Amino acid sequence: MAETSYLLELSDYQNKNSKININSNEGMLTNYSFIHIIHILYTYFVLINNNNNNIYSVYDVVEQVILSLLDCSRKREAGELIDLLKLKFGKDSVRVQRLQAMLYECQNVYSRANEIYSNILEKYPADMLSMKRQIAILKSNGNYSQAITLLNTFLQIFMGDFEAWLELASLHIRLLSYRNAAFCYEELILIQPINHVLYSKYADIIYSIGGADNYIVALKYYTHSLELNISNEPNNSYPPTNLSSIYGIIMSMYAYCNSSGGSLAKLNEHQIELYNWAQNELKQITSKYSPTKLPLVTAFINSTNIKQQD
Amino acid sequence: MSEITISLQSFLKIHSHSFKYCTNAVNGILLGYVEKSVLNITDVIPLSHSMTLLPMFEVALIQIEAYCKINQIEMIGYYYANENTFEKDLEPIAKRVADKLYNELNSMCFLGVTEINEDNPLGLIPIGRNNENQWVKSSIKQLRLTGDKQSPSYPKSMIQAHVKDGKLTQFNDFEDYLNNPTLDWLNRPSSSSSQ
Repeated sequence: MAETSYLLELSDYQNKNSKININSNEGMLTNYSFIHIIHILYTYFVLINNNNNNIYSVYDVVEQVILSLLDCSRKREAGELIDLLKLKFGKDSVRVQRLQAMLYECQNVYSRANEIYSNILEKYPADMLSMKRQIAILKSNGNYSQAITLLNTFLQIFMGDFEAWLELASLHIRLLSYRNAAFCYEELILIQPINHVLYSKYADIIYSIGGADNYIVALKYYTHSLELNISNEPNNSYPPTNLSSIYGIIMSMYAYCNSSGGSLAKLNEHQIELYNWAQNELKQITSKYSPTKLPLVTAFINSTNIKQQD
Repeated sequence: MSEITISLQSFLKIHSHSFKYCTNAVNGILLGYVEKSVLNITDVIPLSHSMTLLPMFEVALIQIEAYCKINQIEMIGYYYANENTFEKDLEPIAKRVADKLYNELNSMCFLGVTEINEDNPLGLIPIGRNNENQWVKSSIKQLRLTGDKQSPSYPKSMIQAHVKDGKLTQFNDFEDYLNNPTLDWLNRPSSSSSQ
């Protein structure tokens, strides 16, 4: 009986806070109701463990709860749950060992965590998660160049790992090596060719490298991103989500006209047409969704006007 | 190095930004006015929470410039919170942006966001430029909250109350606006439509 009452309480919390997206990684630390949920789950699992139930599938959830506890820096509760798992599955279980190592990471004892990961990798060289944790340790210690080296080794084995490429790109951007980051995004586009966000981010990176040719490349990628997600249709119930590509089209053409290799005369009529379309679209979206911003957006459009330049 | 004062609202905005995106590096622009070589920060515009790349940063700055002209307020600085709180040095992009702004603005201050603790009740470190044109951390005594002298724990209790009220979900930066144009990156109080 007690078990179901906990679950009921949990669903109650979920209903009350329907706005909270548990899958989102953002804002976890500060979301008090989220911590409540975790706390209820924690109490629930201590309880079923005491009742000696043999439902193995719940241990998947226990693992998730431990990870969430670590995210919220609740070391004591996480440690207790890990001890329960150790009793259940023994100390040699790789999955439990990994959780123990993550607890060490949470306590800032990186050397011991690293030791555990190295031992696991000696036994099972293809253990992807342990290797990723090692990269994370390097990153949190500030050894970015070493993290990049290890991530490159990782990617030679697991070439199709989306998150790893994303991480490598963000490390390169951090060190301001945009060309390498652009390469990572090319790989990402190959993995997910219809993800519009990747095209727009790739364009951002190419634009940041600069130069007349790159502005035109950026323009093409922004346009393709919009082609995949225009999201501003009259009967849409949600606001457009790809504003950055519209801004990007205007910015890249403005930058092209102001760069040494490019000028307004070198743009063809279709590009001018696209530029006008982007300006109108921006005005329309602003007056529909955020009318108070209209003076600011109009000022933006006026100051990036390419036609007054020459 | 000149003195800096910061209003409670701006203080709350900076920390809301870094708490809302606690796993990312965040940055933004400080607005205010200069009076007798004292920099007064009265408002804050949060910019991005993933990577800071040139095009969208330029878009934001052009619009902020227009906003300043309309509302007769000045751009006076930049704040940056590292992705990793324990890292001592600033990320390279933060220095690069600060360099750019330093050349553009008449007077500017640069704030690094860190942990709020007893030694640093505001959780902000003013970063000044030394003779070799490098950014170095200067004394936190330069920076103070506007208004009467409060107890050192006052700012911390304010931000705690702010977070507990669930204000973070209503806080939006420029990047949020790019993904959803209905969100207000100026973070004006919802009751009064404009200042």
